Amino acid sequence: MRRLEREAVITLIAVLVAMAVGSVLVLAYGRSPATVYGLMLRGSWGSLEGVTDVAFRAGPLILTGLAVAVAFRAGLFNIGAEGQAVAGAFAAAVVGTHMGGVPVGLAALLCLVTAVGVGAGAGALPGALKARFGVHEVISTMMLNFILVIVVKQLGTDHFYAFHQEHTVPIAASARLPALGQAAGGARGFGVAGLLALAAAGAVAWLFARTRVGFELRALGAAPAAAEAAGVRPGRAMVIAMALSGGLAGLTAAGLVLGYKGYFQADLVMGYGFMGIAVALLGRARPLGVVLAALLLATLARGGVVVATEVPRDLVDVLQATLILAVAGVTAVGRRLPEATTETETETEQDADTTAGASPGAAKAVQ
Amino acid sequence: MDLLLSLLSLSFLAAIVRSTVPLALAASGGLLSERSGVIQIALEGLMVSGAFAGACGAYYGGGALAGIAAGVSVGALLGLGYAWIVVKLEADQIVTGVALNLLAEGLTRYLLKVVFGSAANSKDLDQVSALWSSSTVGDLLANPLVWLCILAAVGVHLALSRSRAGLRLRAAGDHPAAAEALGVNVARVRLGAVALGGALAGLAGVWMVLALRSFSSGMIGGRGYIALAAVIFGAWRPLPVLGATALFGLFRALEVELRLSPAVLKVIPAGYLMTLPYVLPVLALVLWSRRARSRATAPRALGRPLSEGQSAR
Repeated sequence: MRRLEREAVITLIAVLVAMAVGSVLVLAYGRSPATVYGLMLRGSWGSLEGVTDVAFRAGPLILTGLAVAVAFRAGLFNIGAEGQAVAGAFAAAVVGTHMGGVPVGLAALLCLVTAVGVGAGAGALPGALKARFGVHEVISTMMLNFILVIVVKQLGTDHFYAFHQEHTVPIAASARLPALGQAAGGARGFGVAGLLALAAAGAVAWLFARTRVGFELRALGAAPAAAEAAGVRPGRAMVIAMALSGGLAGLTAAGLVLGYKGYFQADLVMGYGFMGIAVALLGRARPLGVVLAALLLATLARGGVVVATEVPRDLVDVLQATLILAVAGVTAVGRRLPEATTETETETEQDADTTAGASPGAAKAVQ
Repeated sequence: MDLLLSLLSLSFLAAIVRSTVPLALAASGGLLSERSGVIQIALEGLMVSGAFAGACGAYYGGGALAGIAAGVSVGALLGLGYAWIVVKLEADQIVTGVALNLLAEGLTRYLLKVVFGSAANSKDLDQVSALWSSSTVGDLLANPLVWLCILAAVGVHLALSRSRAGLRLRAAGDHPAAAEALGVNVARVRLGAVALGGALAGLAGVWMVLALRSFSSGMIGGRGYIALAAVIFGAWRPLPVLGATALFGLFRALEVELRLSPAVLKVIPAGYLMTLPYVLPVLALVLWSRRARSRATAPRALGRPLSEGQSAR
């Protein structure tokens, strides 16, 4: 309980720091921070349209957040969720266009299996490069972001995009996933894809709490040397962690392609992957935390659209990056406070893998 | 045939130098930081910030010199800020570095609208005189920044290997506890090294802005990460690192040249060629690990917070 309180305080401070930084920027643009933040809140939680939009955005954010979180728990920092999500969503859309005549449930399932498979492959590759050659995953996943976005664009223009368009031709109706917002006449909202994201959070929680693989990943993240001594094969665990991570990122296709436009467009997907980093860190790499953090960042993302009349939308990117910095900084400060130290010690006994915003594995030398 | 001729031409040589300079400057900066024991994944963000500050400086300060001053100062200040967070507060170096990169990307796009009123580009920097252009080999030979880059790379090499300050810096990165015992203020050495490295990365960003005569969001395009890959590929030693940046610069120039050749484009679409600058650093790191597996070359205390070293004593 003490730990929850402490994490809540850290998160609150981080949010306040981000808001303070945001205020300075809003003032620099000659607008009032109170107006902008008020607009953000009303535009997101103050109307039915706002709430459905937040719910819609939370789905993919939960998934990219889980993606980053799963790797993080295993001591790996996957900043490639962006590229993995783009590749997965593109693949799902391409498969989806060929699903005419395939029964409703099966068509969507095939698309999603493709998306997860491609995402997992795009994650497993840097995982294997790290395991086999020691190539640092931050560099390889970032390079892969550029590579995947370029390749998808080229593939799309050459073979899959609609004539003179930047998006694929629509997927078969049978491959689409229904959402509540659409039923009410809106373009988007919470639906099957959102439920899938929540189910994924549950599955990740189960994986870490109840399975051998989950235990091995946590052990690798908490104490790599000890894990290896205890029989965990680090290379195999790294590839598994990164494949799981990429697969989760690929699953964003559910909400963004199957549950929304019905086609792939890079702009629909881009941004969610990088935001997943903030979601994971803010959620302390725990499934429940990720779900809550995804709601917060979905609110922020929706708010960014609403306040675009007042200030540039990029304010949201700044707030999101400041949140990551603040969580990392405040957590580190909290660790150094004398009271917090004793607390951390008792806590380590109960919870051997406590990471609290810092990744012991990822902090190892870049080599 | 045309392609072969163009690869042997002076303009191709100019293209290699043009793409190597920013990598070499940023990698020299990254090297200073990493040899002092601080992981420098924020090179990308420092370059982005330096580039934007450079554009503002050149636009409002009336020329390249003001741009350089602005870019270098912002790089140094951000480097110092990053170092303070990870050295003094001991926050996670990789998480903080990546956050800084995201922050720089978002903040410069926001400020682009505040300062230049545009979503994507700064105004054209007509204030920058022809002295700073980099189109031909002649231009490059006359460009002071090229010489400054060579000076910086060689200077880092000499400083690290020959000077007292360099010795302290290396000691901070390899044996911080022993260095402390000998009276070196390791935290201060690291702050200084990262700030100086930030200045060099900022200058790398300014180079990009002066070469293209405007700032646009996304213009750094992963060069910071590529520079860090060069630091690792060069095994944290200044001259091999410089060689690695030249190799990556060569491939960047090659990619552009290939995309201009109709014969090549018939076989490989431009998009796949564009992945070359990102594929090669990863391949280089794979090769590096084969070569260097037997000997540990990374600074020994790289990425370790100071208090960890002390408690381990």
